[in-house]
Amino acid sequence: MKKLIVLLCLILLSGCAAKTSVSDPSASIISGDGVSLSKQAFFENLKNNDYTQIIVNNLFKDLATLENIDENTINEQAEASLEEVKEQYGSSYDKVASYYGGEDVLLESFKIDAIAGILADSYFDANQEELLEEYKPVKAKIIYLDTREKAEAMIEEIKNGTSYEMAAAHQGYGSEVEEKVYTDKSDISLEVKSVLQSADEPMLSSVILSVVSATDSEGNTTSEDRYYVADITNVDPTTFMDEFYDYLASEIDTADILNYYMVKYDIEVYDQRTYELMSKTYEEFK
Amino acid sequence: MDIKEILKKFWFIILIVVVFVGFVVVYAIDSFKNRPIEMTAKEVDGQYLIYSIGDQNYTADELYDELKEGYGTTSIYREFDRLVCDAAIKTTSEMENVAANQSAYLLQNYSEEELNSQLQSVGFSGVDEIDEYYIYIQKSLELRTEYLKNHYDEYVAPFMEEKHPKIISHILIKVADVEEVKNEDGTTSYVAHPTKEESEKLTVVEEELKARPFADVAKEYSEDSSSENGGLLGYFDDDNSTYVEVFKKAAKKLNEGENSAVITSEYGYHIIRCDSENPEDLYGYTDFINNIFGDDVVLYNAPLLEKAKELNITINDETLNDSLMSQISDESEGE
Repeated sequence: MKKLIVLLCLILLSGCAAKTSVSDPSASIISGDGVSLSKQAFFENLKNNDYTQIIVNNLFKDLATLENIDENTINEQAEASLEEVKEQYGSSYDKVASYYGGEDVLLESFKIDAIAGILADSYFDANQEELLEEYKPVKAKIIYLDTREKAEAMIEEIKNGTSYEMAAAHQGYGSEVEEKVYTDKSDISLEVKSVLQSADEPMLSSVILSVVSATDSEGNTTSEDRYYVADITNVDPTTFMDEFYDYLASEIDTADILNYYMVKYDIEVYDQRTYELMSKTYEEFK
Repeated sequence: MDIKEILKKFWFIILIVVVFVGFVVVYAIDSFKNRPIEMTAKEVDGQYLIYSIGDQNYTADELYDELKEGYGTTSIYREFDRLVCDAAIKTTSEMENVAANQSAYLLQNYSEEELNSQLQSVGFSGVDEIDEYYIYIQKSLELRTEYLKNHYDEYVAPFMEEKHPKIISHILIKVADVEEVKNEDGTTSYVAHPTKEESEKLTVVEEELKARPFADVAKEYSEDSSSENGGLLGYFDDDNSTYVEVFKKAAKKLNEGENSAVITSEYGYHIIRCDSENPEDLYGYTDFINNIFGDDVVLYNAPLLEKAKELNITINDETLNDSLMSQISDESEGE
């Protein structure tokens, strides 16, 4: 019976969570007549700050090690970014660097950016199939015109051999037409998206009508007819993966990428405050 | 009795027991699902871990060092100030009441999440320390007020001479039709076109002021929220930016115990009173204390350092101490 009670006590004690402690926790940081502040108490106080970025930066560094990312590659990319900033700001660079805490701090943050970029590409590689299925990327040139006649005339001209850009210019479209990656999540009209997603080979669309509603400053709802002409230039994403990755890098949240790696390497968190701070943004931080 | 008989005889009690047990089970499951996740500490090679990922460990010591580098000076300042204030000034029941009222107001008007975030940004753990925070604020003000009292000739007297601080009250009689006039010198003045009732009210107030205390008349006749407190507006000095120009001009001229002539602003007629220019009264106003310190970080922290020295309170971490002193003590002035 005694053994059973002792065993139960041990089980109970092992369930009690100890506090994450710094080494030499009782070292005195502040002392004086009737007051004291231990190193551990100061640590807890420091943890009242928002240190999400410190943890994220450390996670990136750890992941760089775990993913065997070449240190030279990281340094080269970071130094190249630093050079770009120097060139961009010229004589005021010193002020900019000082604003960020000095060149060392700036370089360190570019290293983290470099790691994040490399990890993002690896994440995209590892999840390529799912991402292609989810985003359905195509490359296309898209413009809209204000009348159906203009859109039809433009299509007719292209069919007769005029380039898309020239035909657009003939209809008064002043801007340069850029060939871009469009996906199922692009912020374009649903009607255009539907045409892009249904194309299984490069093609010129017919006129795509989209009605855009807007509310003016007086609260009146107005609608505008837009006539789109889309030149779908590439429907095989395997031939433009780099551009698709660039698109993803600007679309996908860093949190998604970190969450992926935290699952992959089975993160274990042992500090309550850090967990509470991080899990708000990074759901796999647990 | 067999089971059938028991069920027949006690069916109501059994039903109640079943319903009760059902409630308990549902509640227990719900509580379990919503319980906060508790982290369990882990030690490797004598060092506690913050997290581990793959074979990489991030230790509490590493986090401490990084936090100290990033936030050390700010955090040690808060802790030092708080500890010195606590050691120097006794918590009174009045302080506790003020803190309790302020906390109650905030807890009623803001979410716990908002308050936690605000309190953490000033070094407190969250709403569990909200009362402590307001007690600390009062102590910090008292510490600095006492310092100024003890250094009156050095800091208070020159400020009084230069900025003419005073406590003012006013009576407002609203006038609906006030005309704005642009003067040649670029200033703006106002011309009132009162109704008969508005004119009569002004006459009554002027007559009453000859016979009764200003605060009583303000309480009865003034037409803004200050009337509840006898027209008291509070602290005013030459740098004031709260009131309209014509009001400030009149208030600046007043000496203790004087009432202004009737002045007209865009709101109507005002009669302003200077209640006091006595520093003993002015010490009760946070703006008075803060305006004397101004932007002078060294002066603002002089009371803290003086009291710390008196109480032998020291920062024993050399890096933190040097970093803080370079910002708040005389040493920083030479840099």
